[in-house]
Amino acid sequence: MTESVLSAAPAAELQEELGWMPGACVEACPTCKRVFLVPAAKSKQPCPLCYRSLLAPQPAIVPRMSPEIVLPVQLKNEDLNLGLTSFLDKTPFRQEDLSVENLVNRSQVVWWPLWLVDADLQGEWTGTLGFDYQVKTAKESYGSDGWSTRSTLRTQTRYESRKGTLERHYDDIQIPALEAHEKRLHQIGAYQPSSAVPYRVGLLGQTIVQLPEIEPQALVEVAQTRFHAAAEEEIMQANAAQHRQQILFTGQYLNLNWTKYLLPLISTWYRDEEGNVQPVVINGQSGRVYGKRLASVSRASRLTFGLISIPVVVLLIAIILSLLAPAALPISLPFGVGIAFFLAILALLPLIRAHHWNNQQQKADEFK
Amino acid sequence: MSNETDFLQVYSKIPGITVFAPKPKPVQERKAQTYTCPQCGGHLEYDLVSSGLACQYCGYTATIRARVIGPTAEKREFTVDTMKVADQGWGKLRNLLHCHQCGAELIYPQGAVAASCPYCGSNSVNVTQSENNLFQPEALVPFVIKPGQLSSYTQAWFQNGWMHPSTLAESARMDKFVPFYLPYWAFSTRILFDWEAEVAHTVSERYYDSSSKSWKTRTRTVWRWEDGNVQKGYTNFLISGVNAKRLNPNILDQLYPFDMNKLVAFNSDYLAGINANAYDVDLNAAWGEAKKKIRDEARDLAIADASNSQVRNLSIDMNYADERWRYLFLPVYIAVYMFEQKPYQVMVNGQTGKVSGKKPIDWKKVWLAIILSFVPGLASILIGLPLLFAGIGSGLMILGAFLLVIAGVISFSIYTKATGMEAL
Repeated sequence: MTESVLSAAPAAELQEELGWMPGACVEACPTCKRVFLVPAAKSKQPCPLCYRSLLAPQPAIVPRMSPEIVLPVQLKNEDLNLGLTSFLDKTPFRQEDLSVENLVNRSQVVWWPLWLVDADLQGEWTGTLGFDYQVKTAKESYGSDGWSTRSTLRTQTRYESRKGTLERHYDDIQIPALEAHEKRLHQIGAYQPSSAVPYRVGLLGQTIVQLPEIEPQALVEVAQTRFHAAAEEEIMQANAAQHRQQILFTGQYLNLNWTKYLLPLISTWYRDEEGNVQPVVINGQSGRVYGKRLASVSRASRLTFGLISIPVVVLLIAIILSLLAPAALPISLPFGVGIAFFLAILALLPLIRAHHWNNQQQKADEFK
Repeated sequence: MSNETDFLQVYSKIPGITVFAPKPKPVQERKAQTYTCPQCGGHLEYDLVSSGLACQYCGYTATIRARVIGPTAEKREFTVDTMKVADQGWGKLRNLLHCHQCGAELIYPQGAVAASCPYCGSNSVNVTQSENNLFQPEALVPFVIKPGQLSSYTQAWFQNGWMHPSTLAESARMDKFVPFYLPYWAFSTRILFDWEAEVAHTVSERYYDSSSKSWKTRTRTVWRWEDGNVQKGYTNFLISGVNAKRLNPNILDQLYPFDMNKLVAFNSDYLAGINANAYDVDLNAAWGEAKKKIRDEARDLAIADASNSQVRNLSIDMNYADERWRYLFLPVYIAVYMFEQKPYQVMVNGQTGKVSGKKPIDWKKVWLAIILSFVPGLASILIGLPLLFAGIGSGLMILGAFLLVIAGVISFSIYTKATGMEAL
């Protein structure tokens, strides 16, 4: 996050702890336990991420800390259509409810949180840093013309100890606010923070916001690790070093300031043949889709039953021919039975394909 | 910051971050040093007998604090910066010295490291300096062989070998041996190469000989492609820093080896009163010479790695790794002796006593030996020839021919050795 974005955020809103989304209430899903800030118009609707239960009010939970910045939804309708079409393209015997139109119509924006933390680091550092340098060497070749030499340069690294002091301010260090943060990023892909905007009241409209699962108090060590990593990068730059063996920092982390960063997710669903709701989620920036796209076993069964009539007919013809011409019996009957058996096996392929596809889909993790 | 005395603040590219790096080792400028006796004011010099400093006049002695560094002596890399400096050679040489003993202003030959004042005889060290400390000797091997031992080593050397005049040991007029510290480049590297060649294999095959109407066996050579890879490490690969016009490189080569485990850190005390010159073959030229020798050896190693030494279409792709160099001083006694009005150079390894030099060849002895080697073969043929007419001399004739072949080989070997020694 750039400093210009931060400075654009109105200070009054950053300090606000309550009422940063007027009219919204806190509700939770009894099945997946996720907690949301839901606009009044969408209260008590099915959970926007798992769709297994209706959201239940949680008056005891207060949504603390206003978001500082928000990454807007950057996906246009045509991008969403294109992304879902390509997602469903390879699904064999697609279920009736699993269509691009249905998924688009049922889609809704859900924001999910990240913590942003600022701090001043003051202390001493020591480290062993690597510096590249070049040595002159040669490559020699021997052949029919004798030896030939080619001078080249080889890059080597020299490690040296360094130490010093550090007094730096670090802004907007990102810390996961959800237990499954990394897993979620793995499922729907990363976000590019360059187009983030400062949060203002009304920016999110009538959308649902998922609330953090981990509070800052539990994330102090994680934050220190991230600050340490940021400081290490800067120490490398300060030294003009290319490598590091280790860098130790001993000092203080002062003026820790926690705020929220909201990332966009588009959530939608379809109902499978067994009547279960299957969620499908889309990265609100990149359009990457994640979900289980199940094949219709009943459509595959119908095709298999249709195809099985062919070997039956072939078998009947073979029997009739054998009865009409008993002399050809030793040839026509075994030949007919063989062909019918082969076609019967081919007729089973659609059903096998649908089952295999669904098995593969069921192995995929639930959306985190 | 703790231990700030060992560290020095250096430039930081990020404001708010200070950077301290270890202080570079202090570079000690090797100033010209004159050795005078603290007792009588006479001249102090390195005494080869006591291996310390000694005054020739009052008998004052002082021990030298030797710091044996052996294999840990610093090795430098062929960094781009180092090679740039090496290309510039010595830079500005300072060979003007003010003698602290008698006040004379002296000009020494370029490259001289230690010298004596011609007016008062005082010994000075570091009389010539390069602008860059990179090319100052870091270590040396001190003299171990005492001057008193040299005559026994040289006598044994004179008496060794039959090709030389019998009177050599008695008639050679030997000058006084002069102790010298000679500049040497010691290289360390690893070579890694892939080779490919056609290698000769002898195969036996049976064939039908229509003339004798029988099956026979014959051998023929089949060429098969082989490949392999070889690695070899070199440590302290020595190349003399003295121009070949000044000292015979073939004689120098025969002085090896030196025991590098006995290397001591450079201390000018060792050079007081002893001749020492800086290199006149620079690092680039010396490394080029070392690589030439390594290449020749690599070719032999590739052939040795093949399943047979008979190879053709040999190709090698070779890389160097971990190349390092050191600049050292090694101890050598140098003398010239006269024999039949002709001067011959002789050197003694100041650490091991190994003698190397040129010895005159007595060609009468050489030719006599060659002629004698043919006598058994010729005698055998001469006896066998008349007996051949009697039908019984064929055995002697064959023996004679065999002995003549052996005599030819021996003669060639003797002649090659004699010419080689003369050309040394």
